[in-house]
Amino acid sequence: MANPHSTYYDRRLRQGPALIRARRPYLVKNTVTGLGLLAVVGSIYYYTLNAVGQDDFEDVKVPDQPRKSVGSK
Amino acid sequence: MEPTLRRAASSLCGRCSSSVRRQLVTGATAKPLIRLSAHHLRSFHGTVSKQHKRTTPEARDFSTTTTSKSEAAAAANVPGGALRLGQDDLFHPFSKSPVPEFRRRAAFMKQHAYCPHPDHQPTKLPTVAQKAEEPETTTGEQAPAHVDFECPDCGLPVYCCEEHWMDDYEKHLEICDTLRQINEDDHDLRSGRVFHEANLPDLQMVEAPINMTNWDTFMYTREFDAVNSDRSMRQITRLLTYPVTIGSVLHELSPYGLKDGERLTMEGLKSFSALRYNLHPPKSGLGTDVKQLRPEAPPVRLFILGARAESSLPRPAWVQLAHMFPESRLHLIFVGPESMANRDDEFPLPKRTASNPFGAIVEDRVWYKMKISTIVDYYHTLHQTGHFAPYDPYFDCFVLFHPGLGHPASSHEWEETLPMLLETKVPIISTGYTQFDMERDVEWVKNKSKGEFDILLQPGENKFRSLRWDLNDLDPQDVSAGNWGVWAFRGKRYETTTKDN
Repeated sequence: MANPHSTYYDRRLRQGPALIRARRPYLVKNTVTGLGLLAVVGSIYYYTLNAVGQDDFEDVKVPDQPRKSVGSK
Repeated sequence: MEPTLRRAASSLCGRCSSSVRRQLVTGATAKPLIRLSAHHLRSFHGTVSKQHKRTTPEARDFSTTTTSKSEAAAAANVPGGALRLGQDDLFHPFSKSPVPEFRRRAAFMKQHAYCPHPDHQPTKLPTVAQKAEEPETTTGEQAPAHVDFECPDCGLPVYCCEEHWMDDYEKHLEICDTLRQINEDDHDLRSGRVFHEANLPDLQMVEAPINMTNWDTFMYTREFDAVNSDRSMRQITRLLTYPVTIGSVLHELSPYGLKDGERLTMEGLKSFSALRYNLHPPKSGLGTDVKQLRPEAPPVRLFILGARAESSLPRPAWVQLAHMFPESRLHLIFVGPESMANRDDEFPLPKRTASNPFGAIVEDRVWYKMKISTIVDYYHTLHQTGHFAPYDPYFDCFVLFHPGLGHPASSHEWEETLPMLLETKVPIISTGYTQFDMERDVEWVKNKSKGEFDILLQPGENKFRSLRWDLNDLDPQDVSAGNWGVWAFRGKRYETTTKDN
């Protein structure tokens, strides 16, 4: 048999009652871990965007008028 | 064994054995089931053919007596002879049950059980510890009366008349739901349905360890088929509680640890580590080649003393214990005067010869790493002959399933055995039907050994207790669960220590 746990899911791959019972002891801990990971990743993302957003590109010299294209035929 | 004899034997071992004995009939019903349905054969076809095959053993397994056989066949007028109760049709008052066995049980209860109403004189010792704040129950002057009135909610005869039932209704309400559950579970066993939960898994993948937090995680990680309904869960845990309780204490991934609230003591860790050394040996490179020959350790011996229901447990259920310890060899030895109860087809016992001095029934190769012997004798008789000596804490363990050590009806039988068990210094795992039963055992061991024993596992609720409740037919108020509690102890060891300077 391919998956020994196949009977724990119904035809549409939703969890059956037995699987929900088996996962219950870990429900809170897994949720907390998930939320923690989400917070870390989210905060890194937020910080990065913020840090990049500080740059107003003042050191880039922008010419007043667009350069004429020279090599046109 | 004749039914009358069996009844006599059931009164031998005190309070709960009659309920266990009923359970044995259950076990017998489940036996052909489990044998038929090997895990890998499971397919749609398999299920259909199983239903056909079951009709014959079903009729046979109602009871072992010939008279009841015909009675059962007469009652079941469904074509094919199998009684069919739908999952929504499981509640029947016992005296009006479609199953003749329950009508007989109702009659038995009405003849033997007493009304618990406080107006009657007390007929039995308390089975539950008295709460301190509760006022002393006044004992009435009426003569004890047998139960006659069947509660309409749970369908069991519990009081002698309707007035007493109504008067004591609040007390009855505490157990009424449980009794109803027992009623439905019992009818479920005789309903003739297909027991899908009896598909037990095969060998465990080496890479997938077992999680023994509770029944659900155990069954998931042990790769059982999903058992979704609570009722199926109750039925299968009643069988599996025996092997899994042993396994949960001895396994290296045991849920009982040294941490606070996990009940294992330091002495317990010493004893069980010794056993785990042999139960989980390292890979030795053993193989079929001559170059791969390795010395093999002898089997770990588990002495199951006072065996009753557990000795007639379907063998696939015991093999589950071997699957929990795939690397080691196991030898289960059932010892006790009742260890052949409900194994009628294995009689007569083998002759007592020089090579088999106790007439042991040996079932070799129940599984290629498991052997089961059954000896119908008291353990202290065996111990005195030194038949199994020497005892080695690295290889031996005693298991007592609901021994009733402190029960007034059975404690005298253990009185001689206990000092011998303690003398071996081998761990002794013991279980109890209820908290009261277990604490009475602990108290008794404490008194008899005069404190000369170490607790290895603090007494407490068993994580792998039977989820199903059992009825004591001699007293319907007395509800118990198989292996409700578990604890372990050992004779005290005095080891040489250095004196602190």
